[in-house]
Amino acid sequence: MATTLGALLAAGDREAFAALYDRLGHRLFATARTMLASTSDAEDVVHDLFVELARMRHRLAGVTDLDAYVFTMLRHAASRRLRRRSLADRTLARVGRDRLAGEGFSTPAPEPADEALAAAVAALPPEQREVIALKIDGGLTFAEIAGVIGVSANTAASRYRYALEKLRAALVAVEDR
Amino acid sequence: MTEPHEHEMDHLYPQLAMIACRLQRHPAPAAPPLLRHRVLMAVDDVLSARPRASSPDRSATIPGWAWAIAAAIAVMLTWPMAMLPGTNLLSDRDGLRFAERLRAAGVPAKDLVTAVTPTELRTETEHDLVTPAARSVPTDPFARRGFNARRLLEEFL
Repeated sequence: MATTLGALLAAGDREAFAALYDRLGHRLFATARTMLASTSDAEDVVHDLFVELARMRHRLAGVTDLDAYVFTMLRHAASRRLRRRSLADRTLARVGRDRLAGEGFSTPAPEPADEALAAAVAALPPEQREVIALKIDGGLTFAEIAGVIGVSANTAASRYRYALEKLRAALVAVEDR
Repeated sequence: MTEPHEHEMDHLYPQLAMIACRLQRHPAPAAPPLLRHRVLMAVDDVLSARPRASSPDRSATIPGWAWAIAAAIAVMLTWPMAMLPGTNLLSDRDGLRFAERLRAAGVPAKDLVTAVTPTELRTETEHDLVTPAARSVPTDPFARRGFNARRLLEEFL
């Protein structure tokens, strides 16, 4: 399935790109949003990712695991976005983040359903947050996550566990207030 | 594929598994409906771009040494240009757009100048204007050759 789709993508088939978006778009967006804690940044990253896929489509014919390949690209794009954003965040922090709500520069836009959890996820170190994003939002297994981020499955699982421990501690602290 | 880690989590860390369940219950944000349209439009633009089909044919008929000489000449011509003030950095349009974004966000003018340092400026798209950099900001960024942000900001401000 993935190989066939890869061949169609490589051939520049527009329907194949639509099919890829329909298959992965939601998971990619959700993963990017958790990684970046920003809806607008997540939209941009997914947009840029598909543009990049279209540009280098000729390489896709030889890709054996298309999903992992795309998630790896997403991870790189999100990491670059995070690094670029850090400077803007540092500068904008001087003028107060409350003035910047909705500008796409600031972090969390928590879901009303579980603001404490969303805030705790946004506060995780990036390497742990990306494992949470890939696992929970991306629906990847630890083996797949390992392939995406270039670590062993044990390391991916450890980062996941550390992240859960931090989330638990953060949530306990919130609930004890 | 076996995933011992998946089950290990559930059994060895019940309290953590509860957090994992809470995360899974947390509604994943839905991708905005317009995003699909925006993405596919952009993909369509790329796919519709004029194919560079002639390149392989040309390269097949021109010997490799000729390409090497052409590349060397191109480097010799462009490298000195890159050293000239005001080149190889940020286009006026992108620079102003970046400054505009910062100012719209409430950044005072003096901080704008501080924020836009040579290492943050590149020739790529708007998204690439801010790099991780701050790594090697010179003592006086405006004294550095090729830095044109001051002019950009002065025009803008």
